[in-house]
This record gives sequence, structure tokens and C-alpha cells, in this order.
Amino acid sequence: MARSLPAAVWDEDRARRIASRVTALGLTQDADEVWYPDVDGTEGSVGLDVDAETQVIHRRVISGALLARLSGTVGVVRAPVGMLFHYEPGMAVRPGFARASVATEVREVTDTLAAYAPTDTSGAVVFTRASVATMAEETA
Amino acid sequence: MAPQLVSVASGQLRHRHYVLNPNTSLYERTTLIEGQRTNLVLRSENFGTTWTANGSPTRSAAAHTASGVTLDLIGDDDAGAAESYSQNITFTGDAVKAVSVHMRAGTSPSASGNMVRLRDNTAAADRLLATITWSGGVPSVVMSTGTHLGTVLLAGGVYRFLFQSTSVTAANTNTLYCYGATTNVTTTGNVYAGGVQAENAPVPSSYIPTTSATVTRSADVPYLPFTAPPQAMTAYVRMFEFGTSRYAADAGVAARVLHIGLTSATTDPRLALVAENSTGRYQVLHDNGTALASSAFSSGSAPSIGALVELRATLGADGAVRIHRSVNGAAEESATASSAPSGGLAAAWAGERLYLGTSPAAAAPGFNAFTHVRIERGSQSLATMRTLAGVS
Repeated sequence: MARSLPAAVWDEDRARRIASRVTALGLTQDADEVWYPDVDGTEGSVGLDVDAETQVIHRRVISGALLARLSGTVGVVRAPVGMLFHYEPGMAVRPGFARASVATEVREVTDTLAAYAPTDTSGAVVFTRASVATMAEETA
Repeated sequence: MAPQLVSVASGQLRHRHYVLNPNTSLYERTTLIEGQRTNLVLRSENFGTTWTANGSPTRSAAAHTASGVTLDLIGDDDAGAAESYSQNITFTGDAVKAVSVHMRAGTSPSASGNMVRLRDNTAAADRLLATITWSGGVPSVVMSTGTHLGTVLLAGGVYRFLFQSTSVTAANTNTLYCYGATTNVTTTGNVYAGGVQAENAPVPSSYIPTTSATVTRSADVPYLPFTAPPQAMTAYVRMFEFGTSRYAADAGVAARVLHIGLTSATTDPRLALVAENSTGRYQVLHDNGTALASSAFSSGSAPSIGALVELRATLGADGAVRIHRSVNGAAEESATASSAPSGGLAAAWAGERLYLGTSPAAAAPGFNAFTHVRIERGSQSLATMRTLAGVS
């Protein structure tokens, strides 16, 4: 699953080094594109290319072979994105909202409630758990 | 994959809700956001109590549980009578109503199928009459009265059927029937049935189990920090429609898909992506505190239940807005852009929050299953937003 991008920090020097490396490897590269793996390099199949002028990032899938050839060159390169907000199911979020009652949803058979114990709350997007009373007060 | 219905406790986001993508026939993980609803059916998983036995229907209690919903095996074994279970439903307001039921092919399904019926016994008129026939455990639905909105497959060959009645008269006696076979007295057969739900709403929401009393599921009101000030931006939402558009059209509220701002008073600076009240068509609103800019589609009907909807809304540096939509992967359509509001962009939002699928006070909830929400600086194309959101 695609990962969300962290807070934007642009490492120009590293991007230039990666661009040089890509060129040295003879890989196809548009003038404004720089390839690098996703934010922490742990997802081997996801790459990003950057439009240096607009600083718009495009997420693209690149092969494991390409990543292997780039190995040793790339590391953590953070994105100069224009991203203001991102959410998708499964992101590290803490639930917290005003629904006071039990509800139902459709899950995979193997994905039982017992297995549902989100512990990673380190994501940039966080739900602040609120009681019903607090919500009512805040939203009145 | 064989999805199963599970309970989700209070305060937990339903973000492991799987929906079948009608384009790819693959399940996608979503976050289900819904407004408040009440299941008006008592003993929704037990025909042995509260329900009235019409004739002498057979019943094997709790005969199937693999889907997460307890189903009784109910049958009509009398070739001289139409045997069924029924319950009077107390609706509020004269309007179309949502009815849903979980079923699985019986051990001896009637060749003529089995029926689900909502009948006004005061006016002696059907408000909903569906015939479900089974072939190899797979159902086909034919409607005599009312509308079949969709069918959801669960584990163990269980299907949830989503129906909409014609307009009911709430003051009359409205009775919901589940037949082991059909209303034709000569037919016999059985069917696994349970998880019955009736709602004061035009479209069924997620299932709410009941026992001795009606049960209300309160609204999901999820919000997240949104600290970026008003600026030129593009909001992209990818979701499966589960009634937002129809609810807006029926209830006359601007049902929310997304709302930036802590409050929703008419003079509060905010950006909202909604289904327009009375028409249900998608709309984007930008209020800078003194003037409103809006862009909405002027034609088109509500997407089908379960349709994949991608909405893209742009906010310009001058405060003008424009909405775009793509349904089930079709080419994107664009509404007419608004003119810039007097005063331009809002100086600041009325609070640094983004509400997903609801308004701040939950007064205008949506009913959607979200897969991606992304907001970027500037005006971005659909292709760019898909890429940035990680939509393959």
C-alpha cells in the first residue's frame, strides 16, 4: 500500500546526487525528474519523480532492479511537495470521534476484531479522541 | 476474499471496511463514514421472537453464522398457504424508506424464489415487493414494487440486499414480511434469512443488530488537523457512494463529503465538498466569511449505490471554485467554475480542522466509504491527484 509522505523537507544536494547517479546508470530520465525511493527507502517498489520547477511530486512504480542499481546512492530524501493533507485507510491514525455506539463494517474473514489493535500512532495525521460531550461542545 | 460482518466498538474508526470495486471486481479497503441511523426492526436476527408467524412457517434458529450475521432457516412447507414471518414497522414521515435483509440460498430453495415485502395493510398496497431466485447459491432479484439498490456479498454465500420502498404512509400499518417461498400459496421452499433492517431514510446504511428494541447508531464525526491557510489548492476525494447523494436529494441537506473549518455557520470561512441539498449533485463551496462561491453540476442523477466516485475541487487564489467528477472511472466531467467571491480568499478558516464525510455538527452527514483524500497546493489535474494520492 502506498505510504503517506511526511512533512516536506527538500534535500537539494541529495537530489542532485541521485540525479547524477541515475544519469550515470544510463537510465531514462526527463530533464526535471529525479527518481528516488519512498520516504524511508523501505518500500522497494515505489518511486517518486519531482518536477523541479513546480516542485510537484509524482509517485511512480519503479522496478526492484532499478532500486538495486540505485542502492547505496539513495537514502532518505524527503519531499518538497505541495501536499497539504493526505488520508487513506490504514494510515497510522488514532480513531477518535463522536460515534458513541457500536456499529458494523465488512472485513476480511481473517481480520477479526481480536486482531484489530492499532498500535502505531506515529503518523502525521492523528485523530484526537473526543468524548461525545466534548464534541457537542466544540461543534455547537 | 470472503468478507465478514463484524462489530466495531464506540470510538473506533471503521477503516477496515472492504468494498467491491465495480470496475476491477477487487475489494478495496475503505474508511466507512455514516450519519446517524436507527434500525426500526426488532429482533433483527431472530424470527422466533416478536415476529408474527403467518401460517406455520418452518424455522431452524441460528442455522447459519459464517457471515457474522445470524440467519434462521425459514421455510414454507405448505403447498396450500403462503407462509412467512412479519413485523409491523413504525415509520416516521411519509417518504420512501430503506429496507435491507441478509439472505443465503436455502437447503431447498423455491424454484419461484422467495420474497421480501413491505405492505401497507391499511391501504392494502405493497410498498416493496422483491422476488429473489437462487441459482447455484447466487441470487437474482426482480422487483415488483420498489427499487433494488444493490447487493453486498459476505462470507458463506450470504448476501445483503439493499432495497428502497415506494413512499410509505407512516400513519398506516406497514408490515415487513420475509417469505420462505413466495406469496403464491402453491410454492414451497426455504431460505436462510436474518439481519433485517428498516430505516427512516431513502438508502440503507450499514447493518445495526437489534434485539428487544430499536437501536440507533450515532453519527461518525471524524476530524483531522488541517493547519494550511486558505490558498490556491486542489482537493481530491476517492470514495464509494453509499447514499450521500441520495440522502442530500431526499433530506434537503448539503450532505458532506469533506469540510474544512470548525464550524458551519453561513458566515464562517470554510471550504466544503458536498452533495447539494435537494438535487444530490456534487458541489464545492467556499465561504470567505462575507461572500460565497460555489460550483455545482447542473444536471445528472445520483450515482448508484456502491459506485466509485472521484471528486476534484479546485480553489483559486482569487477564491473562485470549481468541481469535477468521475464516476466508475469514466472521463472526468467539470461543472462551471464560480466567479471569484467579493473579498477573494478567506483570510483564515474558521478553525484548523478537516471533517471527513460529515459537517462539524454532524447535521449534514454523508454516507461514503473513503479510499483516498488528498489536498495539494495549486491547481492540479485528476491524473496528478491520482498519482499523488497513490491511486494505481
